[in-house]
This record gives sequence, structure tokens and C-alpha cells, in this order.
Amino acid sequence: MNMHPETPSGDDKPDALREIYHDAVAQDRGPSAQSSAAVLDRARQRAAGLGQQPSEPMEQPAANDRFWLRHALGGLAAVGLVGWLMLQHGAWWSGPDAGSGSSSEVAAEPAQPADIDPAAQASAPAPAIASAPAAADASAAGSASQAEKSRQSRAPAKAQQAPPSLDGQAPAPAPQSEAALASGASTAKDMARAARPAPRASAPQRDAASAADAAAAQSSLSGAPLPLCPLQTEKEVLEQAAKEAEGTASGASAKPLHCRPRKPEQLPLAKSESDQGAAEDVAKPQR
Amino acid sequence: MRSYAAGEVTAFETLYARHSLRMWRYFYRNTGDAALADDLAQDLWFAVVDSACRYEVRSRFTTWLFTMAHHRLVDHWRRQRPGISLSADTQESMRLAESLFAASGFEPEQQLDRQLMAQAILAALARLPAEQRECFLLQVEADLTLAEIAQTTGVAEETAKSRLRYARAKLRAALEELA
Repeated sequence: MNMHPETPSGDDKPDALREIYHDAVAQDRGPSAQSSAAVLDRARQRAAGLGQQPSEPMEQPAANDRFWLRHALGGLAAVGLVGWLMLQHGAWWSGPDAGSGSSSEVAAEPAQPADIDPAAQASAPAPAIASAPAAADASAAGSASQAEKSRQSRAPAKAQQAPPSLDGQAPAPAPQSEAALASGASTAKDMARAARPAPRASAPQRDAASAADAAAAQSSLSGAPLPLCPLQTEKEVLEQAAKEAEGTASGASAKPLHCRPRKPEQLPLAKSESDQGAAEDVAKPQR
Repeated sequence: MRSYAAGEVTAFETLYARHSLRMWRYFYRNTGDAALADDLAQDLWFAVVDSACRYEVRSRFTTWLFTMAHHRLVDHWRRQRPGISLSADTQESMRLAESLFAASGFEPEQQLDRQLMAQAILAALARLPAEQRECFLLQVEADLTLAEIAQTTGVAEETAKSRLRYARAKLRAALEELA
């Protein structure tokens, strides 16, 4: 194989240009004596020091060593790792906020139909007087359960601060989270709204409705729904609520209620009256 | 180099006696300055001494030596003429080479005095583009093959071959002008 492309291919014919060139440079003086002496002195010094200890330049990488490539790859890997960790940290940091936000949204949501009492669900098409309290109770129970889950996951110690229940019949309201408190307020308003539009309500019923409104207002102020009062103390509570309403209107300080009165339709008497009225409505067309 | 790395000074003296003149001519013909060739050659031999411990036998010593010389020459050119590409073959030189390849059958060594031809070839060598001159010098001074020239200068083998063809064609043309 001819490794010198401009020489005659393959044969041993001498290269004319090469010969002419070597004839021309035969008279060159070559390196100076000083340069040669300096190089040989350095070589001797180096050889003397080779057996003792290598000097610093010899510890450096070779000129053709691709250390820069390793450095570049290492730098990229470090940057990527830091970026990945930052993303992970950002996701972790925004995770509790997003989780609490979603849990609060869940807690603030109205109760799903599946959470509502079947009895209230069955009476849903009926006039709101009868169904609204049940739905409100179911909503409050659902919200309370949601809030309970959120509360247990966030601050279990708060469970010990729950106020004792006054009535064994009513579900004991647990200390609510902020969302659950808002839900409780809306539940109290629903209760008042359900008690208000009774068209054929008698005077005691209107008093009870106003008392329920006052209780709802107080409940909304305190933020948590009060438990239902026992039947024995129902009248006392209604009277107290009426007094509270009057005192609030006159500007006097109100004494907080410990339980919320039952709505007229929840009282046995009111129920019998409403049944009687319904019987009259049924009997009237026949007349 | 291994013997010198083991502490044998005479091994290096042998190497220096064998290659110092070729190396100096390589620098001198590429730069045209004897003092500069001294400096470059001395710097190169210092580097050889310093890197003796890290020397690995990957190719011929001559190839390794002239590769280092090429890098120093490139550094020198960059300091002297920044912005000039070392791998650019001008269109003018390409056209000239094409025309020179067409003129064949000329044997200048048979018609001219060798002394005149020596002067002419050195003058023509000084006028060559740096890349082509370096390829020619690597061939005639270091006795490198085409692949070794490509490895030393860091270009493809076809590029080195092309540069060498152009260089030789221009030198032949310079000798033809004397006739």
C-alpha cells in the first residue's frame, strides 16, 4: 500500500521532491547550542528528580486527557439532580397546601345524596318544611364526618377539647375545622330558612321560628351547630331564645345558648297540628 | 522514552540527537524564523521531558512528538494571526492545483541544476498555505504516513491527502517555472 500518495504508487522509485528538499535543507544549522544545552540540562535535572518525587507538573493530566468531558457530564448530572430535588421539594411543599385546600373544599361541599338520610331523601319532593331539617341534619352530619376526618388527620390533639354533648339523642358536634364551622353556619341558616316560610304557622310556631332564627344566628356566630335540646327543656330554651332575641334587639348582652330548640315540625304537638291541618285540607274539597 | 522515564539520561540524549534537527527544521520551515524555531523547539523538548512519566505507547514516538509540535505551531499561528482558519483551503489554490495536475510529464530534476532547484523549492515551500506546507513537512521531515499526518494534524485522512496533493503540485509548478 502506498502511504505517500504523491510518490509513485507502490514502487520504490525515490521521491524527487523529497530528494530536492533534503538537498535544499542540508545546510540548515539546526537548533542553537544554547537551546540544546538548556534542553539537555533540564532533562538531566528531571531524571535526577524522577527517582525522588514527581514534581507538580507531572501530576497534572495529559494534554489530551478528556477530563473536561467528565467535568461537563458531572456538572450536568449535578444540575439535573438539584433540579429534580427542587421539583420534588416544590411538590412536597405545595402538597399539604393543596391537600388541605382540597380537604377543606370537600368539607365545605354540601353532602352528597349518598350521605343523606334515606328518609330525608324519600321526602325530598315534599314541601321543604318537613324535608329541609332532615336534609340539613344529614348535611351537617356529612360535613361533620368530613371535617372529623380532616381534623383527625391534621390535629388529633384537638379531639380532646370537644365539648360534652348535652343531649344523647343528637349527634355530638365535634370541634370543627374552619370549613366545618362554615358548614355548620350554613346548616343553621338552612334550619332557620326551613322554619321561616310556614304559611299556616300559629303564634307559638312563629315564636318558635323566631327563637330558632335567634339560635341559628347565635350558632352562626359561634360557628358550630348546637345540639338539639331535650324535650323537657324545650320550652325553657324557647323562652330563653325569645329573650335573647329581644335582648339583642334592645342592645343588651345575650347569654349564650347551650342547645338549639327544635323546630315546630319537630315537636310532637306541631306534628299533630300539622296532621290535623292536613286532614282539614283533605276534608275541605268534599264540602 | 520509557528508559528516560526510568531515570536513564542517555536515552533522552539519543532521542534528542535523532530528532532535534528534524524538529527544528519543521518549525523553521513553517515559521521562516530561526530564533522562533529555537524557542518553539526548546519549549517542545521541555514538554517532552516533563511528560516522560505519563508517556504511553499508543503510536510511534515520531507521531507523538510531531503531534505536540503541531499543537505548538497552531498555538503560535493563533497568537500571530487570530481569526484565520487553519483548515481553509482557498478556491484560488484549488483552481491552481487543478491546473497543475493537468500539466504532467515534466521532470525538473533532469533539466535544472539541483542548487537552483533547492532554492526554488524552499521559496515555493514558504509560499504554500500553512496547512499544505505542514503536511508536506510532516511527510518529508517526520516521515509520517498519510494516516499519521491526518492524526497529527487532527483532520480526516482525505483532507490530509488533498492538502498534500496541492502542496506537492505547487512545489512542482515552482520548479517548472525555473525551466
